[in-house]
Amino acid sequence: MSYPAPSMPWWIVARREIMAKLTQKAFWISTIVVVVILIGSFFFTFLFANSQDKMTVGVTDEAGAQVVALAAQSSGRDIQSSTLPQDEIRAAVEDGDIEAGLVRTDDGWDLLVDSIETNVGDVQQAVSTYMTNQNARELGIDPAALQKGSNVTLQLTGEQVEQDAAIALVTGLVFSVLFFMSALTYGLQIAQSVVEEKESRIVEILTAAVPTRHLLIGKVLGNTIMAMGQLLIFLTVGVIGISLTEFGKFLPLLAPNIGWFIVFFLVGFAALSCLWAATGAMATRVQDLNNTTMPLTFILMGVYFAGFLARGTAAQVLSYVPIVSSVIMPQRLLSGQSTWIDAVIALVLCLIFMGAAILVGAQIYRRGILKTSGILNLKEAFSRAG
Amino acid sequence: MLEIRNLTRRYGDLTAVDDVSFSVEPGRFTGFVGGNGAGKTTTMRMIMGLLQPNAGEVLWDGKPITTRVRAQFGYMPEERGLYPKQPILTQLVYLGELHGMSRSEAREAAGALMDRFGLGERTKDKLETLSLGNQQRVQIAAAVIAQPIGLVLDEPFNGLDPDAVDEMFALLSEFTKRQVPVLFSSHQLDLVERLCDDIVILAKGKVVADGPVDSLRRAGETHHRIRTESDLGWLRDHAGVQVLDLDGAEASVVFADVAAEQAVLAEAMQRGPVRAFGPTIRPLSDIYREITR
Repeated sequence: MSYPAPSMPWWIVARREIMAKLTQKAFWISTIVVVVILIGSFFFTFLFANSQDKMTVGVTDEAGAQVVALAAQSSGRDIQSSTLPQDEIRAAVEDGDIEAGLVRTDDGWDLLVDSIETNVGDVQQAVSTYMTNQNARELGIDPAALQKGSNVTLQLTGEQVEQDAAIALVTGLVFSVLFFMSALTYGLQIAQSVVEEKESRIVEILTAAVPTRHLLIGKVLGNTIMAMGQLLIFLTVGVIGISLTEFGKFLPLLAPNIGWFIVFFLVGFAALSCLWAATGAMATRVQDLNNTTMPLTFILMGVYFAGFLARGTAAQVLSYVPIVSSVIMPQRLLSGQSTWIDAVIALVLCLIFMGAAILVGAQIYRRGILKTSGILNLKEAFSRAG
Repeated sequence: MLEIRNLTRRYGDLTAVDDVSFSVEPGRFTGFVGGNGAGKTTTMRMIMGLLQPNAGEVLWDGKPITTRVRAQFGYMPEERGLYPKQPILTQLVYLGELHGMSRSEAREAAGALMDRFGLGERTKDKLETLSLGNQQRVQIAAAVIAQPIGLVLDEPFNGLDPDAVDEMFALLSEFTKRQVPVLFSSHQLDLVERLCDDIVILAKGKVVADGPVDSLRRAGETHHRIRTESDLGWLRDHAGVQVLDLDGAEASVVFADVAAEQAVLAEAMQRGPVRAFGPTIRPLSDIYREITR
């Protein structure tokens, strides 16, 4: 008696990859560490932003209080005044009870701070405005007339970076980093798991039982699912974090496009994974991996930098190139430079590339499997007699 | 039936396997013997489709072997292959599933095999924590878990103690009883002699002998041993007798033909009681040395 051929061997392989990851301590530790770092960084940004926005300025009289009120009004920050006796102000600043002290002197004002980094520009500005107004009134001049014609409006020339584009740039950067990090860590792990199977020779049993193509697809699929899972966890934490900061107002803008980022991440990652698996098959021992994965690491670096350096025509062309498109196309969609038709074209190109990568990878894989010493070079991998 | 026809494999200038042909009959143990570098592993890899032959073919029931047929084989590679850092049960179930078993079937079969090998308590242990002998048992379990239609085992008994060898042999015998052909390679000639029905001897990539173990042992010149109660010196002068060894009342000889044999026996009986007279069964190792010299 024997059993029928499994209907989806690639899924059995993928499931094993997933289970192997899930039972790995290192996987959970790295996931938790990143989540903790994310939460921590948002927490500190939140604290820092709030502490910078809120400020109490010690004053000695009504004029000082008015200056502070003016500063609060013009800057929109939460700046409070607190009236103290003049001889206590310096000590209060030094003790940190108040962030700054504003004291009138014979020829002007002293603004006391205990650190050059204390953000008191608004208060300085307010002092100047307050005094100009007061002097004008004393001289019988309308303060508005005095200010007339001094209004400066900043005008930008050339192609304008709109708010959407700025956000696209930032998100693009974030995604480039995410893509780079995941592709590198997971890529190396895929390559490593291939070499380990070669080293332990289980690969001989596997390839005798299942076509190499299925092994490769299963490996790529399993790891892609895990990478996506991790990415979604990080994104969820990230989105919740952002919604708590002042950037939260940009979220509705991002929402429709985050889908594109995920789709492109998915396809780009999977395409790259096929190449990683193939590079793994070219090495015999884990130590050889550095040599065989180097070209891919360089490609990744290129993708990473292209992600936020490419502009104009270069960016437009690169946005169709498989793998690079994963980083550039979503940005262009977000900034409105590309349409969904471009996106679909880029996706189709990437899928074609993926199919080719799987075929090439399977070929290298087959040839590499019985190579038990040294590194398989490309010429050997594709020569006819294998 | 598994037939190997004119398989040839070259690595550069070296011909590792040179026009090798033999067959593995259903329900028979075929021992594959040869020194290091004789081409055993290369031949087995070509049978399993892991290496492309430069020439020749592998047939299953008279037709060229297909990927599907190979997928139903049980295979044990030379350099043992399983995941060292994974629990035993997990990987056996995985391999079972890849061979088309359902998860529950694979689980059941793996559990039964492990119980049988006395590893029932350790199914959740990582492979690398097991002794080498036990790892070897798991490796054999991996080859047989999915009820293979053929077995190709590269040095399956390496590193097993005599009890374990018997245990594994009993397991494999269950397959030969069901007419599964079993090909296994080994360095241990005494083991091959004891366990195999057929034998294929490979030297420098070529088949130098092949056939049932019994007939191989009888091949070539047959030695006869004679033991009587008086000196056998007269044998030296007897026609048609070549004396190999003579020690008083005991001798080892080669007869030219049956007539000479019968004449010597008659004369010996005439001279006194004959205690022993018959062909000596030569150990396989003798034959091996003679053939591969």
